[in-house]
Amino acid sequence: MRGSMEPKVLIFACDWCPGLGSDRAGQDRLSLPSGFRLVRLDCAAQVSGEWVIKAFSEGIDGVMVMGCHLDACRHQGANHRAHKKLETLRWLLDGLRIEPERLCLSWGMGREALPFQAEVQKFVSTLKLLKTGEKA
Amino acid sequence: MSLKERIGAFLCTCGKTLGRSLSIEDLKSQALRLPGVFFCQVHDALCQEDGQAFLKEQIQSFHPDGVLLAGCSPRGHGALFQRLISQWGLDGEALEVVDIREGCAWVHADNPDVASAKAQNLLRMGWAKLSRKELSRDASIPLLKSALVVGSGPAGMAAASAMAGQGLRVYLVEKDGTMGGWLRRLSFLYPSGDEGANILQRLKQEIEPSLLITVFLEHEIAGARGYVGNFQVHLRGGEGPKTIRAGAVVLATGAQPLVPQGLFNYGELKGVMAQEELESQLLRGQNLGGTTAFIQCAGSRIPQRPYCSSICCPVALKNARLIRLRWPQSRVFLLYRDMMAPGVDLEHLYHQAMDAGVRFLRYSPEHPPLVEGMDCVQRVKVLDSLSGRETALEIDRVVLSTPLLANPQNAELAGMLSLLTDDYGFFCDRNLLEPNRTVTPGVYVCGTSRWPCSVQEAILQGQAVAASVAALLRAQRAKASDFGVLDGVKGWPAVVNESACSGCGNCFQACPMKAIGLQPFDGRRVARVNKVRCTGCGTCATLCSGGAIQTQSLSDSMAIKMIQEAFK
Repeated sequence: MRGSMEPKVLIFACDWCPGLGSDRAGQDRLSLPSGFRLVRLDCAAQVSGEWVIKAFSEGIDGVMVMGCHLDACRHQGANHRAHKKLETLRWLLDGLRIEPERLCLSWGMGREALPFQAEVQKFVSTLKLLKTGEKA
Repeated sequence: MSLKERIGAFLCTCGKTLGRSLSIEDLKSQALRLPGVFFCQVHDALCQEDGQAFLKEQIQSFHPDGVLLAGCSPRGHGALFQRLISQWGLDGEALEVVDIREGCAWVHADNPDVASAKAQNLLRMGWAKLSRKELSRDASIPLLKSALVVGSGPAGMAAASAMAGQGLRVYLVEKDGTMGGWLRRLSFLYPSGDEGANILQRLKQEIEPSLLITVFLEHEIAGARGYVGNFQVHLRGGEGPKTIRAGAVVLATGAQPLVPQGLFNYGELKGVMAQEELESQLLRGQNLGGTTAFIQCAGSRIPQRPYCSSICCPVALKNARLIRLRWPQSRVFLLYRDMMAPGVDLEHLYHQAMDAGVRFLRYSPEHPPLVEGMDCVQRVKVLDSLSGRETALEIDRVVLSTPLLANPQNAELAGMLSLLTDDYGFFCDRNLLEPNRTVTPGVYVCGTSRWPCSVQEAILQGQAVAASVAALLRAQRAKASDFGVLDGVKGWPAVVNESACSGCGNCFQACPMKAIGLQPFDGRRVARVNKVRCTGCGTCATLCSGGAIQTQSLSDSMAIKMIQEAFK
């Protein structure tokens, strides 16, 4: 159900950078928005468009894909390909009447605690600003 | 094999601290409501010795197929638990660690209701993933007892002879007509002062008589296929193309000094030369009396090439001292930015050069020395940054210390073998613990193809590589999962459902690790994954329109179920 108090956010996070940042945020006892769930991946390139669409169809308000710096992928540039692919998906979302802003791509920001917190908070406030409920 | 049937759940309270922000009782009843979970145990510290003993006892008495463990982040003790359960007869992959501490209890400590509800969601997501997990069947691969060395400089020769000493069949490929690389052009070597030709002769004596080493002169690498233990390397040159089968590939392609075109009037004034030209004049025994000025950092430690090439200071010290000792009437000036002579031997060399009468003048990059003359070099004007005085030196020759540049062929080799090169074209090593290995299992790197180093260090690295290769190829066969691709953690390879694969080749095109090939199957061609090369990034799975190729760590069905459980 969209539009409840705390947006539901699904984070797909590569375990090498943002996975570490999530742990560090916990270790530093930072406070994070309560509505996020994190799925750990071997690489952000694992995220398929199908999963993202499925998440929206399940009523999730926003999907975040977090990966390593674009030129520092442990799988030799796999995240670079993922970025191109997911950017295309964002364009398709518009056609499905889902605001493209609901899909957030974040590369190389999530390795440390504070930037991880900042990225998640920024996305959650973006979602709060978006119009609640389905577009007509 | 799917793990739906018998799942054992464990909740770790992290010394009862998680109980402050989560309801452990609710979590336990949630776990027991999950299909397939047939017991759930709570413990205070599963990572400690008594916790491990508890885990062992429970697993060995109830024999679960899969273990769902909620506690700290899988980055914390995930690898430990994986190792433990594989010792107790379970597949290490039949474990799912759910992070209810860092990502839940600790970041939502101010809101226990939210944290409790989220922990239950996270547990369900972990269960969704575990219960749909297919255990991978490992691949056993043969290991050929042979190695191919690219480049016959000191590093390559040292590696080749040491590997032959271990009983390995060695193929040494050299693009020139004779062995030795840059060692052929060096006069005397620092820090020992040995003659380059002598060292080369001794290295050759270990290679030429060996029955285990085959040298291919005037050959180059045309292509490479395969993986650790089973490389097929194509050579071109000589009498025609050849294919070598080797268990390991050692890269010793070397480096080459920058030609200082356009720097300090090089190429315009006679008498301005690069350090390598001075080396060959020393080799020929040319008279180098008169006045010589060495200029350090010619073309290095500048914005477009910020690195220190590390060998130029010792080489200049060695040659400056040599000139002073051989021609006592000569005058030698060494113009430097920072003198890089670390370690006992090189610091000693620095003092020896000072004692021999070499004069040192420090310049700053803002005021580089000016080389002047008509046709022939006549004087060098330098602002000594230590005294602040400008001096004009009347000189006969200027020697430019230029940095080593990566071999331009490195890029091509990196493409063939899926290697990484740094910003300047040198091969990257894997990590601090494995400094002579590249990111591709079975491919090693030594000498100046890795980074500028002295002959002594190149030989040391070559011998170190030989030891690593011998250890790798000691067994007859190896398991694909032994080759941890990423910081010791093996990514799960992708798997192909052949009957669903249409053979379109999308995955083959997109794979960043070049791990996918198209192979005949049932009268058509289907994708096949090389389990050694695949690191499990999942690029292929997202592009497969039929869902025929899947990553085992998170297949579509696992992910979809997790998404459904995330906010239930």
